[in-house]
Amino acid sequence: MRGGVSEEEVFGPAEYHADPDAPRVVILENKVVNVQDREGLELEAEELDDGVRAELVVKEGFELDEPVHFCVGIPWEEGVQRIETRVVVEPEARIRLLSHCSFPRAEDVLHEMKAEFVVKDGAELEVQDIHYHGEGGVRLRAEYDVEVGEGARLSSEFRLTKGRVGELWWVSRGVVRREGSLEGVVRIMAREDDKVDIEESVRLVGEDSRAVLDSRAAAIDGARVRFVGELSGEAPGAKGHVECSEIIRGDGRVESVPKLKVVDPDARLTHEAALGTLERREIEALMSRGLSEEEAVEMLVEAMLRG
Amino acid sequence: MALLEVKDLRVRAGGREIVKRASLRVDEGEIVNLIGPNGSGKSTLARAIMGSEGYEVEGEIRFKGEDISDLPMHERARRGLTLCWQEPARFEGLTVGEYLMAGCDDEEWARRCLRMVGLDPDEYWERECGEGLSGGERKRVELASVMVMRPDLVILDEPDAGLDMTSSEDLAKLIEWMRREGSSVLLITHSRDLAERVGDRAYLMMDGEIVEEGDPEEIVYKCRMCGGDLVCEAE
Repeated sequence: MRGGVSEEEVFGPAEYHADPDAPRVVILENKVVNVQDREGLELEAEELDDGVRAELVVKEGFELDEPVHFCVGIPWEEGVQRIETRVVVEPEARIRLLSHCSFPRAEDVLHEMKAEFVVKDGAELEVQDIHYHGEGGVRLRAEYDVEVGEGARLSSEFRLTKGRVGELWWVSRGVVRREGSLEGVVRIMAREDDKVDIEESVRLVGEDSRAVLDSRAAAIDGARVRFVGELSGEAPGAKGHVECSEIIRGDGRVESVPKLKVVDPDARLTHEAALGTLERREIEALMSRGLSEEEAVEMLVEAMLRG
Repeated sequence: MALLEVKDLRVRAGGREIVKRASLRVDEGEIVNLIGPNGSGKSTLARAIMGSEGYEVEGEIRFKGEDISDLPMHERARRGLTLCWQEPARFEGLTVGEYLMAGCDDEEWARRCLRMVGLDPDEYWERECGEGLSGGERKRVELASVMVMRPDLVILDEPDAGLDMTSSEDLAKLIEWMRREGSSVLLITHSRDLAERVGDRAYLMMDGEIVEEGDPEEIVYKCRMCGGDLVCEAE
């Protein structure tokens, strides 16, 4: 265990590392430590002057049940990591990407990520992005461009619920074509002087395209969280939903902004936002079982963010 | 030996005096009933003893000889005192197993407690406490959650309220089981059937005051004579 977080949560599932053939990219600060590809995948990583560029191409029709693992991070206190990633999933291919971004001892760390995901017609991409920033927090700047082709599907989940955040600035832009679908899930717990600023936008440009943006965040004891989820319905039959559910505790602040723009009269967009505090009686119920107030709050917030 | 001693307790909330004067005692190994009609201040007294926020409390609360009046709730719990809440919280996202394990580190025992309240642990352990349970099931989990702590004293606040199917006879058996497992019980109820089935002694609370102490049947009788509106299963 490292600060209440298991080795598995920091470095990924143990069985994954035990398999020498499992497809993966391991990047330590700006050094490529390991690249392991697989027939049906083209996996490359190249060191640049001030960072790393990694590219994954999943060949047409190729399907893989086990995840491709992106393990990136800085295991020491200070450093700068810059990564440019491009993931292309060719038509009718299906892949799962498990990304662990780990900075367990961070005190002064900058992590910059510029990513492009292209999911071509009929393909499927599932991305699980789990961050751990230790107790010091990281300055994280992430920029994503996403394209979902006809009948394609992308689901992504970003999770930063253990340890501290630091300062997170994240912009994501998506385009979904005919009958394509995109689901974006964000789960963040921010405490004290953590700052979170997320802007996600998706254009539903194809007929019967779909998108769901689902964010849950907790701002505890002075933390600041801003979430903007924007959908634009630009084609007949396009449907989208923005859901924001945020918890405030102490003098935490949350700004949650669902933005909907309907360009085509046959598009349908909805939103639901809930801001609130934890119920006192839930906290006291756990305190009456012997948990301190802080332990009770942490348990309740983690449960809320799990969903 | 006295486990819990409450002397001349007064409890105010929102500028109103809810408990005007209350003194009671629960000894080791005892089941003591606190009987009274709805609105007489029983639940407020229970929460004040447990250390709930939002009350102005005057008087003395001693647990195992220690003055616990100024201790936060979790410190009272860590000393062996707990409360089974009248209205269980929903705990969205938390599983039954996680809630039970908040109070102990013995999963086998926690599963046994769940079985004792009529819930199969294999079926319920991973269920979500909010959406995954009916109101009655949630109440049973609440009853199990106090027992997993193996408390020295458990305050049961209206344990039959909202319970889905358990009769007062079954509930009385469960309370006796708690005693056999080493917990003394302060049972708060306005159910006549339950009050007459269990309890070594009883207190009568009317209009914010504890006015009588005696045998449970006698206290139930006095409560009714005083116009106390107790609930009877047959009704």
